[in-house]
Amino acid sequence: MKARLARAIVALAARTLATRDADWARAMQAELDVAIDDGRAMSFAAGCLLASWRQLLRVSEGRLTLASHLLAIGLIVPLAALWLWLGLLGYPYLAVGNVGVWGFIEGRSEQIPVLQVGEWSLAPALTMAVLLQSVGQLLLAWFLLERDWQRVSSIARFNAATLTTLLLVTSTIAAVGYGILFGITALITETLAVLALAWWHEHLPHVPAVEKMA
Amino acid sequence: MLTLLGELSSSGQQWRHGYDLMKATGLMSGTLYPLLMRMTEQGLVEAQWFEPTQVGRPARHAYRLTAKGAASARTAQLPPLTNLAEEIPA
Repeated sequence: MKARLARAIVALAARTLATRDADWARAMQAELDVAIDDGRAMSFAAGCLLASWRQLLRVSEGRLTLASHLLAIGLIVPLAALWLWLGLLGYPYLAVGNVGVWGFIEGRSEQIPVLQVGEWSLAPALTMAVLLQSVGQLLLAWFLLERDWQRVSSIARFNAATLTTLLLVTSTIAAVGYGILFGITALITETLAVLALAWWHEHLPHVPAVEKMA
Repeated sequence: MLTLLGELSSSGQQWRHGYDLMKATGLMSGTLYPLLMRMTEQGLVEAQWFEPTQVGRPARHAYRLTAKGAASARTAQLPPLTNLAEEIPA
């Protein structure tokens, strides 16, 4: 069991190391067998993980990996969660009442319909657009961490198109809320950050051609 | 780094495995590997893959000092204590 856990830790360390350090990752994995025979598998594995983290901060590719994870976990995934929550809440056609979001969560307010009677048929499509934003953000985070820039570009365009549609429709029915404005601000921020990461990746030294932006 | 330089220097042109160096120097893998990486980048240490001696085991990475590394090891070494004692006037 310990040996299996140690192998998993060293495999994680190997994944953490940048492409240029692939030989070092293999070297650590090869030495693990000797450490297991010696009964010191866990301390060896923990050390390898620590070494990989130290190396991560030392090389440009490692810092890019760290920055990509920070953007994905710190901004894009929370945005996906927020859009999902808004979708479940009935945004943008159900307002949360006069006690605000927290009041609504605590059950002190009823939701107030924003749409006119004749516009209710739009509700499913609006919910779909909001939920698509959530899925789109998750996919963006996934492709960003995979450094699949072609798909990052495609999904970013899809997200922008969905949000624009949402903005146009809600403007037409006079239901534009802070959510849309916040979404646009977040989309601009994340697009700029993703572009910066793509540029950084493009200018990394010794990056294999297959990984470069198409 | 001096400990590792000293250990690699003591084995001359002999190739040493990572785990063997850990045991000989008392350094943990979290310290040893970053040191080896940096020393290889600086041209002080060279690394080579060796076929496994046991069936089913992966190839192992081994290390030894380059000429530059050996020179650095010699420069970094302190003069022996006996010589110091001779230099101190009675």
